[in-house]
Amino acid sequence: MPSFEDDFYLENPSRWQAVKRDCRLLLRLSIYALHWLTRGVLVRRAYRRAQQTGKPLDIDHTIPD
Amino acid sequence: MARRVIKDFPSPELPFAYSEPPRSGNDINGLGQSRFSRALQVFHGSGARQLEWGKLERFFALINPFRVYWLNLVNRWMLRRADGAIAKVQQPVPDPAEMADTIKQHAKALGAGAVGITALTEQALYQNHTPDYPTAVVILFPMDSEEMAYVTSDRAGAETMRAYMEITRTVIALAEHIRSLGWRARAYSEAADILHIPLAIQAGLGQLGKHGSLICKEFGSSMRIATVLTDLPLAHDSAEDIGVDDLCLGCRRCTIDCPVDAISDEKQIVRGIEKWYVDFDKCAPYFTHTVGCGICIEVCPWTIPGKGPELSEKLLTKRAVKAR
Repeated sequence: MPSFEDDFYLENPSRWQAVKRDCRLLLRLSIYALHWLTRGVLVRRAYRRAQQTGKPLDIDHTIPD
Repeated sequence: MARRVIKDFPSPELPFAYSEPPRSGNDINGLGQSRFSRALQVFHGSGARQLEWGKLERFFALINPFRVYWLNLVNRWMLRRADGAIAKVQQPVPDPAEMADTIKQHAKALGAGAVGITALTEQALYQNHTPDYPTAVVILFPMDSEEMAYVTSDRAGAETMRAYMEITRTVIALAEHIRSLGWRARAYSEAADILHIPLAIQAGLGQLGKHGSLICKEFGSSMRIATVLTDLPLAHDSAEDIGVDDLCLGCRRCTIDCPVDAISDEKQIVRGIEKWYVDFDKCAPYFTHTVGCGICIEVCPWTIPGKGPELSEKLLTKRAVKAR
């Protein structure tokens, strides 16, 4: 599995390689932001409920593999 | 004005749990292992492998306030410039000591709080990751002590991310400068690709504290660390004893204030090296719950602004007197 470094750190990239890298990174970060705004809402809601009720939230079931 | 940490810490009773707990993080970290081996990522990862505690890390990210999460994304975006074009003509370096001074001055002009230079060693590398550079330029960036007094709140979390962004900006600019001299250089900040603390210790920037974080004279533990790896010939600094162990052996400030008792009063063997070690399995869930915790680094006596140099001098003098 490539690391963040393997994916996005480019030594001496051509202009085209740099543009492609920027697009891929922008896409990845947009997915992260979208994830925070969608799945995250459900997780934070469940987390708040757990804090109020005192019944612990199950990490295994709340966060998918 | 004397700074006080606002000690209104959340309860150690956590509102989440694993139904099937992952392999102990202490085990993965090599606690009790007498033979040296490279570290493995456990919680914060670079994406290079599926982490045992990865679910907790993703949960941590999703419960972060948007302000903190957003700053993290911006930081990642900035890091695309961690590497880049290298000037075709290489500037010769007849005197690595002089070049080291120039690089340090340049890093400070870019915003670094402290700078040290050392060799890239095995201790700073994770398994299956060997960046091909001989030298590490390590940089410290202090966090705002007034903001960090609000540890375990979003306010301190946002300050931590702000410091990460500033230090990222600094190491990226420094790496760009080195590449403009015709030498390879790659900036590392926040992302878990190398271990910054062992490099900072080797570079004479401080020592490991009882709370498992770097302690430096200038900023205590309230700072962030980032590194530029390079093949630019630079004179290396040596590790410096500032008296951290002399204080940590007798001080119990972080041990007492840690709500989950994760900090031990004794050094332990970790991957073949005797050192201070924080119980990962106790620390990580509370760290998650408090969106970055930071209690131990903020209550540390070394972190009181302006206290470090005087404290170091006192401790070293006391030791010298005892030794007579």
